[in-house]
Amino acid sequence: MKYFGLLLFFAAVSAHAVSLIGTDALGQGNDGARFGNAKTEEGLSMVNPARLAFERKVSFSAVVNYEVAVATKGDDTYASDNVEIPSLAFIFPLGRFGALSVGVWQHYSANMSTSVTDSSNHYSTEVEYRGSLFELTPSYALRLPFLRRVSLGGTVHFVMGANSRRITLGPDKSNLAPEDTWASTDAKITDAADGDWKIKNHPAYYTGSIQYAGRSVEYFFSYTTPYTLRNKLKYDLQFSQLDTLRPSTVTREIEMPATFATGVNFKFMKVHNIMLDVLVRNWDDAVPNIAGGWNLPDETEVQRELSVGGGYQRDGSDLAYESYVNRTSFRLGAWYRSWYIKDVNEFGGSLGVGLPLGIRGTKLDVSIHGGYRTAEKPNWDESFFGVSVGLIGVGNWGQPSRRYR
Amino acid sequence: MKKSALLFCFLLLLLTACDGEHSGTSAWLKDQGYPMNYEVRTLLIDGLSPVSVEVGFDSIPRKQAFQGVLGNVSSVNHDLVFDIGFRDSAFFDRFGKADSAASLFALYLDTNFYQQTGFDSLPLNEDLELNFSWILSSGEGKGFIDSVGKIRDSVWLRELLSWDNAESFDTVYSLSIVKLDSAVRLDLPSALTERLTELKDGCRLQLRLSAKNSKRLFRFTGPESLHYPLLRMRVTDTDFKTVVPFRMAIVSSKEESCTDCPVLHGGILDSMVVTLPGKDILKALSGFYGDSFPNPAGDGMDVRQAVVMAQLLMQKDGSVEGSELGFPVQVAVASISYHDEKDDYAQTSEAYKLNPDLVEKSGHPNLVFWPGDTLALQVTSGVRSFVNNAANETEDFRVVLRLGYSVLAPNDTLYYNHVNSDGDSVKIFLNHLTYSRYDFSKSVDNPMRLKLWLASKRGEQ
Repeated sequence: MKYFGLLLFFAAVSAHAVSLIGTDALGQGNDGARFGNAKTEEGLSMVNPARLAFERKVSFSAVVNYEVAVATKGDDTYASDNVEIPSLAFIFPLGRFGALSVGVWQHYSANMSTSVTDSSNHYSTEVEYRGSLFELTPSYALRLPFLRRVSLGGTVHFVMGANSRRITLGPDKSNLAPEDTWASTDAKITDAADGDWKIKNHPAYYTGSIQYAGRSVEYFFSYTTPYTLRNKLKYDLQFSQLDTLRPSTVTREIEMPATFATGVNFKFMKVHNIMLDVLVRNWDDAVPNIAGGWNLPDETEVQRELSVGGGYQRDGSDLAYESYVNRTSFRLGAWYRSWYIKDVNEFGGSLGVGLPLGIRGTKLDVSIHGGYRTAEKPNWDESFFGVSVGLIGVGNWGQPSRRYR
Repeated sequence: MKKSALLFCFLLLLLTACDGEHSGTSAWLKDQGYPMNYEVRTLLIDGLSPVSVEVGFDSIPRKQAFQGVLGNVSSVNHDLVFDIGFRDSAFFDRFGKADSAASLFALYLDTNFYQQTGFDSLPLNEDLELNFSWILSSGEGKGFIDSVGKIRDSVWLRELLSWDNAESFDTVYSLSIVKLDSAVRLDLPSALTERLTELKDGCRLQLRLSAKNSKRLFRFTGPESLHYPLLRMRVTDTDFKTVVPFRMAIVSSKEESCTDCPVLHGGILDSMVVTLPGKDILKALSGFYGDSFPNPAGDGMDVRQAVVMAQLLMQKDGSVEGSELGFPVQVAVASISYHDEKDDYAQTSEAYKLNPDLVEKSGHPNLVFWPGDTLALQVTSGVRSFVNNAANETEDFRVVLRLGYSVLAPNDTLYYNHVNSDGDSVKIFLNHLTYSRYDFSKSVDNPMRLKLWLASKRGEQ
């Protein structure tokens, strides 16, 4: 039961990983500020590291996420799907000395691969994006010695990851004289860009938060520092893998604004919870795109990013002699989010269960989620559906730290 | 259980949805601004007169393991040199005392070549003016032979250029070869045999054969072939010693009266560098694209700089004069690739893309000793490199030409050995070098044309 919320978090944050929107910019964001971040003893939260201080058991968590997105415009539809492991985390409670955690978190991701071949129209194009902006996130949180219901926490975000884009085009020979067409037969050109992610002039960026955990009400406030992302890209035009033009290097810089987040959890009748979370990020500068060239826009216009999420959860009992249904947790929630990309708004909902495995607290979490995104041209509206399966493994060594409440 | 079944059904539905037809893929790609293809257009640059034409010949002898040539053809003379080392004190003791000591050198014709080409019908009769020259050194013990074996090929080949302190003997052999698999027996000059009888233990013999006035080029097998050449020293009919050379080299020398003429010879390391004015090419590209070229702005993925195909067109003489074997010969092309560092160049062999319609109709366009008045050489890699790296207008475009292999099936649209629809084997290339001679005067004295197939950028052009 203690880890149900952690699963909830992962299920929520990994709910978007396959959208066709924003692949040229940063891809989809996985901020996890929809709901549940204020609820203590629920594991690691990227926006609220302070709640880590209330952890009592060593644990490990991993999530596998499968999602389908279907973009529509009029009668046209275009679907894509993807499987990924967006997050891994270890949590180490240290008793009076707070709690530590180490995680790997996929903050932004872009995955897309498609091709069109139509000889009657001379169409031959293959487009592929692969991008992951990962963060290594060591966190530490400590309950205040003179005010035990309040904790402070911080996370250091070390950014890493890589991205690549391939546009492979076949020739349009319609303007060639018949005797000249032979020369371009099978002559495909690949416009390739490969890059990696770093933070400009700094090793990391930081999140700090403060948590209050009362008997029935818990809430937090967090602040994440602004930073500048650097994406160093190598452009190359390839006739084959061994036959390329001299590559050139371009660095795009993305100004990431500060993030403010807050959330509250209200608990009643011992096992029932109502949760609400808000996240705000003020984007000012447009995001330069990977691409450029052709008719692709050079940058992606931005807007104020806002996430509001609310949900209900019925905690499962952690008493081994209870019935299985009573030990199983259930939750449902909904969120609204305006993306960092201009005119992209998202509505979603999720439904999940936390299934206990054994008596030590190991759990299997299964959730489904779905929703709808509205967008303006060039993006299409999207509906999305996903399934997440998460595993929480609880360490069976050492003593659970004493509860100091 | 019910819950699991429901979940499974949902997953199945999702997977089914993903496998559905993406009816809007192209519409979605277009809305995003993705190109659906790239446009190919051609550009013909006329009137390219070579800035310079340089002929280069690498005269360093070539080590040959399997096949050697002897004789004079196409204004190039080819000598054969054999390196022989052995020790046998007991034999030399008997050989030195023998009344009828004699020695011979035997060579075998390269039957594979003669059978494949059907060239030079048997019998081969010729009074061959042959020059023997040799350098004989002697020593004792295993150390002497080891020291001979340790002489690197590269050192030996360079030593052959000077051929100092050699003794020489001229003779005329009445050569009559009736069967291809019989040995050509060359009795060694008595002066050499006499020197051999003076040896005591170890011997190194470098033997050079030269036939400068031969009527044809003879092709013999080398020391690593099945029928290797051998030196035989005879004491009696039943007491003799046979030694196989441990290496062989061909020493080729050009005998052209005009050393600067644009003439290429096959079979040897003879090449011609043709330099074309780079600024004329860049100017034509600027005109084609409508702005400065190369474009200094941009992110390096300017598709305008993508050369899909490039063909250098030059005039040619369609006669077969100079073709050693009577077959057409392919002109091999390499391009000078440009690198970041100034004066850092690399030579890249050009790939060859087949134009099936043209090949079927009039044969490969890159052949000499073949009818037609235009020689078309593909220089795609070179022009790509030139265009992509030409930072200023001072660079010129350079290609390297050599005579390649004889083409046996010039009208076949497959570019590899195969069995045709009649069940016959078709061999595209003769896998033996051809020692032909082609004069490119007509090609380089007249303006050339460069035909480019260019990828054209969409949207921003």
